[in-house]
Amino acid sequence: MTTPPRSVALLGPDVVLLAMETLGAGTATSSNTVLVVELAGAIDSDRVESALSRFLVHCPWLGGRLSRPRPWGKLRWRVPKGGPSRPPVRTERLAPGELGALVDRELVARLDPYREAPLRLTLADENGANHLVLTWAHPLMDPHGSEHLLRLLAELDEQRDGAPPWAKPPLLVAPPETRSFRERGALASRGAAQLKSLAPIPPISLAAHNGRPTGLRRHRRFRFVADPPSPDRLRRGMPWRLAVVAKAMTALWVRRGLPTDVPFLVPVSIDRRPRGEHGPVLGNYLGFHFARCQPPVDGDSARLARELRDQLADAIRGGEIEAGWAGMSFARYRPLRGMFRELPWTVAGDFCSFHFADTAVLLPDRTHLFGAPITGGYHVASVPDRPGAGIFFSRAGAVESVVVSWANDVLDDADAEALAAIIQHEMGWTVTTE
Amino acid sequence: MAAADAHPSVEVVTAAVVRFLNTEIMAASDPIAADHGLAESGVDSMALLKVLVFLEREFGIWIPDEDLTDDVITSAQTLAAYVCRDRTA
Repeated sequence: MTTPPRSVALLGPDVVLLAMETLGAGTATSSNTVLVVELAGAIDSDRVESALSRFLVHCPWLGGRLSRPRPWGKLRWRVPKGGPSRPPVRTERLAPGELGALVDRELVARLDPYREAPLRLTLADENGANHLVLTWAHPLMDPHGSEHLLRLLAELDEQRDGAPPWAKPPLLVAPPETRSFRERGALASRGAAQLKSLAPIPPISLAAHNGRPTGLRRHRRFRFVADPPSPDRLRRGMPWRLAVVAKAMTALWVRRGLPTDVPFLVPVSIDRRPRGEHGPVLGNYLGFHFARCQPPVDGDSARLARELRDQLADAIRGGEIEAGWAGMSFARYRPLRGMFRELPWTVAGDFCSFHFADTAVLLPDRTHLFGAPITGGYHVASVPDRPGAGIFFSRAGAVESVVVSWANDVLDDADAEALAAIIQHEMGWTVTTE
Repeated sequence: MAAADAHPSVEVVTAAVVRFLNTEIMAASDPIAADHGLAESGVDSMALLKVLVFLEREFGIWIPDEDLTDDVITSAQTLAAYVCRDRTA
């Protein structure tokens, strides 16, 4: 006999999850996001499961929401009618080169937070190369939250005597909003007005001419090192990286015969966490800036970086990012289709031209996870059918990772390699296999 | 108020930058000092841009791209030194 789910008060990310689930109702599209950590040793899955269980004890909200007594332990979202489900920790033995295919499967194998744990951990042994793969349903966490979760699990693992490793419980969800409803409403209205005026010409994505999407996802990860090791500050900045990606995408646009006189529109995630602390684990704590630029057919990345930086400075001056954040907090409760209907430039089906993110340094204050030394890692974001392609930067130690993700048939491996080659050249990086 | 002072000293600008960083950028549990490395403290390109917009608003100086060299953006102190140098140039 199964135990019915308990009624738990809705708080913070719970509301977000429910709202997002409503928005995605009726679609089978995965919103999975993946974090891969490379390790110089194997991890015992029992240690990971034990740390997960202890995490739920120490973190009341997730424990309250997820604790279910049967059948296998505490981490359950809801007991399925069909009986026991698998714990979200599993091990995989892979042949050389199979890790990429595993991650592609993780992107597609949709996590349904109503029927199973909203995350899963895979301990993959790829012919002696060990990886920890964390997959989660997108609204549960953002990339920094996922790293924070691993950090907390590792700290619990290291505290073997059962005592809490923290003087006070870690920040699990974003602190309560202190601004009044009226103030946030006014901000949201401003954000909505700004959003509507963003793209006088509807953007075009690579997926626009791609036929019927099948929901499959691919990714390729490219590794580089900076040469020299300390490049100038501007090249480490987000505007430069976005400019470089725009240049790489322009080459693809030209190859596909897409118009280069239609400006790119690219949502750029902005981490709202105070610097110097890890911030909340759960929920999306990212604001957005919508970057606009003409595809740089002249190839001048420096000019474009300056333009994007000025645009970002204008957005800060005008409070646009904060207004957009307030707007998003209201938009969560409305169907996605309705949101798109209100944006005149989405009429052709494209919300933006492509995705881009720079997730910065991965796990900067950890050297080990569950006893295994960390040697590298990277984030892999799933991309929706439209725009169908995205490029994501992350760093671990001296290694810069560029991950190209795409919906089936929007790109192919040769396209991804061409994109990475332009990025490598513009960043002044060299390829590494370390 | 710093904006009212046509020629604030390096100390005044430094104090204003540190105050801004610690109220708008850094976590309360991890305040930054005048000589702390900005990059080492987690001040990324987005956070740095907020500091530059603050300097523009408070002291009327926008630091152009070509002047954003590593020695200018090392710390609150070096940013303040640039602002005061630019004012007297």
